[in-house]
Amino acid sequence: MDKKEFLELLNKYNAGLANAEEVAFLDAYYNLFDHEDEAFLNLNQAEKENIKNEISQSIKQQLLQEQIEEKRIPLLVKYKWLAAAAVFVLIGSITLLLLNNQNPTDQIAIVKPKASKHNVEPGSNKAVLTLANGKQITLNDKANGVLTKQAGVVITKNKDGQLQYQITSEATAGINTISTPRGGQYQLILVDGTKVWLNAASAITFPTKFNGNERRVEIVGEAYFEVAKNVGQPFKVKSKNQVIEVLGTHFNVNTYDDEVADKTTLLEGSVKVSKVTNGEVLRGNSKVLKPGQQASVSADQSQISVEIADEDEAVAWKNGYFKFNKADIQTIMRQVSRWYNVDVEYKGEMNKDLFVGKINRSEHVEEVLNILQRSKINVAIKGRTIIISN
Amino acid sequence: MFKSKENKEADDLLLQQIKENNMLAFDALYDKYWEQVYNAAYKRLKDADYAKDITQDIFLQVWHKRHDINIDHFAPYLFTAVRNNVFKWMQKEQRFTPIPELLAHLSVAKDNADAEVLRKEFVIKYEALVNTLTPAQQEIFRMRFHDDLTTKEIAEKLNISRKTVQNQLGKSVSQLRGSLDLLYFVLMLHVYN
Repeated sequence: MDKKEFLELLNKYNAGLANAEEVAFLDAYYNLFDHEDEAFLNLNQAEKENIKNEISQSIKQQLLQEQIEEKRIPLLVKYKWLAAAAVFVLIGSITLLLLNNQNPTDQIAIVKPKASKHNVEPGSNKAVLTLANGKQITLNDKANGVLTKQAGVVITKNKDGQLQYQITSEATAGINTISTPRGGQYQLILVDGTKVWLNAASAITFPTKFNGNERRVEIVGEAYFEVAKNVGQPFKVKSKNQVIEVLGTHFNVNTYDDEVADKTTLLEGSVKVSKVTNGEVLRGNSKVLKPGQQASVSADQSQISVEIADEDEAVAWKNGYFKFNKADIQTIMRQVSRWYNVDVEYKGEMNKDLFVGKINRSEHVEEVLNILQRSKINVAIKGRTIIISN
Repeated sequence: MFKSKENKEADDLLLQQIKENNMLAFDALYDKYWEQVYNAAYKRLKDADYAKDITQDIFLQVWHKRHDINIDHFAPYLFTAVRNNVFKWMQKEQRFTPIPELLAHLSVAKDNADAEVLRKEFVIKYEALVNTLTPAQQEIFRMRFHDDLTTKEIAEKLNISRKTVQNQLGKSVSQLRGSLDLLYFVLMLHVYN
């Protein structure tokens, strides 16, 4: 029997058209593989455990996605650490409680967003551009067109609200900064064609012209980059704890001071993340990321850790929503605080519940509070302060 | 066949709880069987990503179909599910592992008794498959291999020439040519006897 005959047979079998002899033959053929090499032959226990968790997480992710699509409404799903049960069934794992669906009062009703009572609007496109000469320009959704010309660099705002840098022959490099307040975000296209999305309470500093053998920018807060390819002039993104070296690629970098670590999530291409200690990169403190990986760098950890990323979660903000994948209440509220420009107060000890879900960033704060309430979080708002009590 | 590590009752209980939407029971079932599912797929496809996909799909199916399926014996159900998924992948990826290669691996297997059973079972099923080709070939094939008649005896019985018998047998056997060296030689001996 050759390959062609075998595949014809397989076609028949998969179409449900195989006769008894053909089925029996394929069955016997399948069994011949029983003595082939085991999958875990060259793997240690930790690697095996990784595969197990990777598949399990991907199953949960898929089920959750289906759950959300079925309901077509925003919700947060509560995860809970199961103290006793965890020991023998779930070691180190997490349970999706909403999938149990046993309590009818947990059913989520569709609530139409109403006009904001509290005057707390979601964030919008706004930022301040600081030019090399110190002049500041307020950027918002209003006027398009040429904003300014400086030393041969023309800065225009295109109809998509992006800030675009164009260069003329007599240009010299000057340093510009764009910073967003809490409740603001902004997009820009650098002079080399690199696209940058800036999240709330963030800033990017960059030269109007990239001279020399590298393209170097600095950020605080969170940004998503689509770096224009230029092998001869690597792109470098510096933040407090790390420097990212890039050829041409798509990635997100979250360096907020109030988050536990600087997180770089790679979607396409390849980047090298290096930890910066006291202003310099120490030998061996670099990791090259593959697409789908996330590097975490924090000041109090000596090594860079690399994990499988939830890409969707990492760039959710850029696509207009919050996404939480097993986030605690503090993690959720840090994002809410930055986007709605509100402060958050906690009353009493918070428990360790973890949540999963998506919320549209264009919702009024009331809707977000509703969602939190429906997820059994005790929440109130007073002026620009959200109070969470246990 | 997959081994149910504990008894069948334990699986039945978990499946009952899964029907009641209990995610914990689903996790427990995954913990218990994921390795066998993954390993079975991996041995056949030699590709970790495919094996992961198949494992994911199979457990997702268990959850999706939890209200509809009536799984009396979970381990055999899984075994069949993996096999069908593996066959779908083989078709999609146009994957064929030549049979002599598999037989060669079997001959050096650690558990020789088990390997020998698999090999014999395969040879029998292969013959049976060849026998299904055409009714005429089938009849001659059966007379030759099952009734152990010589080609001359078959020719006399069917009132055809010995040459025709040999041609028909030759056609059947040609199905084996190429990859199944072992069987091919065994059967060739029979054709000219």
